[in-house]
Amino acid sequence: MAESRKTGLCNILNPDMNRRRFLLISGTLAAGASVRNLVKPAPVSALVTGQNPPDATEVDAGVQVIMSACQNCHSRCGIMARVKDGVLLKIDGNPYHPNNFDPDERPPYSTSVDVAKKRPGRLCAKGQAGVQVVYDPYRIKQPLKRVGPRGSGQWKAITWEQAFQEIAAKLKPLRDLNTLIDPAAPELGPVANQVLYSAGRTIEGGFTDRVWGNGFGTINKREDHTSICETSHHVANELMTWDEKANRGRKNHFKPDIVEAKYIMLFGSSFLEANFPMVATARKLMDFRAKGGKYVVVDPRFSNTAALAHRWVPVKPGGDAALALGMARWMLENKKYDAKYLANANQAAAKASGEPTWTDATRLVVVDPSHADARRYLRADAIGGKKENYVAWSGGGPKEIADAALVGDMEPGEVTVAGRRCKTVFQLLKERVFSRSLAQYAADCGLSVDLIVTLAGEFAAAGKQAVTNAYRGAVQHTNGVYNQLSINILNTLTGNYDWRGGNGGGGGGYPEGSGVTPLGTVPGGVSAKGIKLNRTVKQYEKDGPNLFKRDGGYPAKRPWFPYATHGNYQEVIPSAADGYPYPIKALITYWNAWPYSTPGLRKTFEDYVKDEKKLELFVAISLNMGEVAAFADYVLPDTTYLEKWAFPGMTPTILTKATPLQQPVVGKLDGKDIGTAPFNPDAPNVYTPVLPNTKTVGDIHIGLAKTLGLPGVGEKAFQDGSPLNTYWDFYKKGLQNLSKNTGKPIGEIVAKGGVFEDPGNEYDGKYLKYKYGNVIKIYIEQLATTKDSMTGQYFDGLPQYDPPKFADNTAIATVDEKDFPFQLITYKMVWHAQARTASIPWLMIIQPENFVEINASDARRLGIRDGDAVRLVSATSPGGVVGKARATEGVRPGVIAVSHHFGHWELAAKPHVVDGVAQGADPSRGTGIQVNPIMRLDQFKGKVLNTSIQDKVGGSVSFYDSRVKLVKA
Amino acid sequence: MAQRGWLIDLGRCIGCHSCTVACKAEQNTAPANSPLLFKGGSPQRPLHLSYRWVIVQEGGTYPGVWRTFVTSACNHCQTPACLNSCPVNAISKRAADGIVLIDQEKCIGCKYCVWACPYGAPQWNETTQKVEKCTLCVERVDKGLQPACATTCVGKALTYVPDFNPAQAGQNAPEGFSDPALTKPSARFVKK
Repeated sequence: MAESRKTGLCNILNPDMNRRRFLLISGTLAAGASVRNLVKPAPVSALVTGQNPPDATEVDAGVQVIMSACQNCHSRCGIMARVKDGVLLKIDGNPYHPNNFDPDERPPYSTSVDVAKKRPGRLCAKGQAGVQVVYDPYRIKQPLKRVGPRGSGQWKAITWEQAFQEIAAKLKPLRDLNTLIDPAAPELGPVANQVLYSAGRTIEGGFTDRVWGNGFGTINKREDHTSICETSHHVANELMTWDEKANRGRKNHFKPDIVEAKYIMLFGSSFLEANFPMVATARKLMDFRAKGGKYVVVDPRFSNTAALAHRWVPVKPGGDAALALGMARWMLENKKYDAKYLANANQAAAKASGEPTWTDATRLVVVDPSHADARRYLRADAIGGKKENYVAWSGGGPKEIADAALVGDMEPGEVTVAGRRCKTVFQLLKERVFSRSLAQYAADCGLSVDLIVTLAGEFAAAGKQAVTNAYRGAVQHTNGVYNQLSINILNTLTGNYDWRGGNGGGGGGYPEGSGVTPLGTVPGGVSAKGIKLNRTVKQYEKDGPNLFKRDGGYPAKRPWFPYATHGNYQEVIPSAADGYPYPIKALITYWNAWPYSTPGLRKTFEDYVKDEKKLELFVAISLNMGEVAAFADYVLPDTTYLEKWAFPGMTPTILTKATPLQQPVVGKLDGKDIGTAPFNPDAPNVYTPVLPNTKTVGDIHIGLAKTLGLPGVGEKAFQDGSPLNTYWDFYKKGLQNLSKNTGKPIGEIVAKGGVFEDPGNEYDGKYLKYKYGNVIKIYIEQLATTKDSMTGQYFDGLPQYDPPKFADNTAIATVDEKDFPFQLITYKMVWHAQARTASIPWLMIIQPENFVEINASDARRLGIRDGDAVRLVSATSPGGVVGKARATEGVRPGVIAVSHHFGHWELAAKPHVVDGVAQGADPSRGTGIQVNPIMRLDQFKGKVLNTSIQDKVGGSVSFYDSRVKLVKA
Repeated sequence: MAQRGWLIDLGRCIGCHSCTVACKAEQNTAPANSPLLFKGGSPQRPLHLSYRWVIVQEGGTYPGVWRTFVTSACNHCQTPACLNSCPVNAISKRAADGIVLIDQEKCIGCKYCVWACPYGAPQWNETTQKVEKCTLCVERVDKGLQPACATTCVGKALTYVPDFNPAQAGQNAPEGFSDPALTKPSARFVKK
């Protein structure tokens, strides 16, 4: 066996091996697996092919198409996988999926697959390269157990049964739902919270919550990646749409109706590159452009999106709010806003004036700082109305904002109501915006007054068909939420929400979570209690009273994040390392690249996980030997996204309804190659992945949870008493729900890769068909009445320009600027995604390495030429990192830009050893540099902390505020 | 005689390389699955063939910078220079649709076509010691399907034209595109 394994590995290392050979070899590697028929489809003509024949087409005999959803980035576009004899040949777009086609090309849902497949949908380079994700020769092929110290790269192969037994034996004593972690601080919750599950990327959170939340009972059930993505964007939108009764935001994501808009302003949001779904945003933006639409790109780097824009606005990184508020100032001064829209105090008034949404502009806010209601909206009980209602000034006096249409006075000046001094939200906004001059705003954002005025004029001229959109570039700053709130103000001043060509929340999906069987109901399940390790959605003083008392009040030992509704990924490991608010004992990760993807984390991560006294158990569910898996005790190899089920969801760029399905496109169901037999939803559908000794993430969870004896899996796992023994059991329920809710048979949903509303349902006259239809807030009462755990001061409730700051609110520039003259930014390439695509040769061939990109004038001044080795050094990373310089005119002076994706130190860039045999590796996966590890650590009153600089409101880590210097290496 | 060809909208090419990868994935051009190579510690592109690629050009001075993208491949010319240069008649132009093909059995690897083509379409394969190029996905278009690159083009910049009008050869060609009068390429452009 050892001999044949070695032979197999030698073959895998042969660079001439193509993907079909890989399949053959991996089949041989699996003990007992039979060698399948891998005869390459015969070329159509010997005359025309090159070295290798082309793939069989989607209409050739024996070829089947399987519709599924991509996950080679987070766009989750529809895919049409071409398979023959169990081999994945080619991936195209799913023609039914609205990410892949607009109404001009998309077929109605009733179109048969045999017809629709002849015109595959559009799909990007990443999506098509998914073939090389499945057939990656360096995937992990069986469960591994560490044999050396953590991180030593020494492993032995074990069975799944052994893995589940050993891991369960260590987790079992930690599933203690009664003993408190700290009797002196009961708010922290029980010992079960000391087990933490962190998925970097997940679209199966609903499923894994069943295991870790309802089953195991840990409050740390899904610590996902969003805070290293764009979480402050989500948080700001939620605060803007906050529902007081439900205590959560109504909407976390708006997008322009791109095709029908006239003017789009993109702040750190690359519609032709990293923004998602790029296949849809790019196609729509080009349609918009062809119709005469103009778009502006606000970005310190000249991106491809900027290259096709009407204007490139090279903003100073982090100055986005200053630009937006400067524009708002001009619009307010010149009365270029929709005063009629803003005066509507409630839905009835909005409806009467043809507006789907309304704002809080006319609500009164108590401005008397000594009053108990200070900083709060005035409630109507003060004037004899209902406590839950707000108050506007209208007709010379206060009026309760109830159900009857009410138009408020926007600028009544300071008024006194029931002994409280009040101003309208609009008045407060105006005072805030006017607190800085256009010249000051221009200096803050590093642009000219003329440019700000020009942009404001162009934006205002397009009325409700002018839309701003911000994403990662504008919000992954310490001032992220305030940048997003400020950029949103421009949309609010024109009132473009829900208008055709305006700003919308998308069509959403058809529900699959209930209908026949509620997927979220877990018989015998528990409800986790306590404070998350990263202290998200909790207030220090209010929710941690014993800690507050123990630690002497403000400042907290580490920041708390009361409105970080999408978690805080960068805080998890540093908090565990500090044991604040409590230590954890076991860590389970899935699709996680923490130290690679997270600014300033690598050293803290490696130091912490190496210490077995602190962290008793570390399990990584991972496709490959990535930067996290390399330090685990156990690596449980899961399948690729082309070999699992999920309901991947949609984004608001899509105006119609859709619920796509992700399903295995290769591997075997009940022993038969997928595509060789018609799909039968009533069969057991036991799935065997391409590498037969790997499992779907769901089957891994089910196996482990059953070994632990947790509720929610095994027999009687669902409310109707049915079992959950395979991942299919779960998705069968979801499909039954979806089928009931849409009236489409399961067979049709599976064949077409989901349920998609027909094209032609995008609009309702001059409005979007699917509306947000609710209040848009300018003033964020939640922030104005919540204290910053590090200063004890209230957060600001209004949009503002706040320079990038440390946790103690000192400006980063004032500390670092002198010695570290450059601001470091990163970006993502259109043909790469996050941390995972460096393993794909088709993509790496396009550009084999990345560069330290520096403005040409800066390079000349420093005597740096293209290709020079340069060291980037920050105040908290004296060793820095060395890369190759590239001088360009396409970066703002004073800024250094380095792309993400490159510079892996694991991910099979180097070999690891299994059972004494060095596994294959490919050093090309480690080319170029990754600058995240050198990014600036936060500090408090001069003391350096162990987390990167971050947004204390939204929870975003900063990718763009680190100061660096450049030294010739 | 019909002529197959391309329509390229220069204002819609976004430089995403979806066409490049579509071609590579459909045609399995070499290397099908290979690591990059290292020479002197630096990564190098391996010897690889692309029947389609994106030409990226940039210029200007900050902040007045520009960058353009043009997708490019064999233009299946009406008077192909490659065909005329081939000493062994390995290159043919199909009578029915004007698709230009290289017969791998006849090709002797002299590379004359590589030098003759004004568009860089013929690709030298070090392994087979022969020349390959874009076939316009002949195995697909013969079945009524579109070439892989046009199928997938994200910006809707590249369109497959089953009945290309020979009189429009090279119409609106971007700067740097070889004189259409030389070979009468079956490609026309929409200005940016």
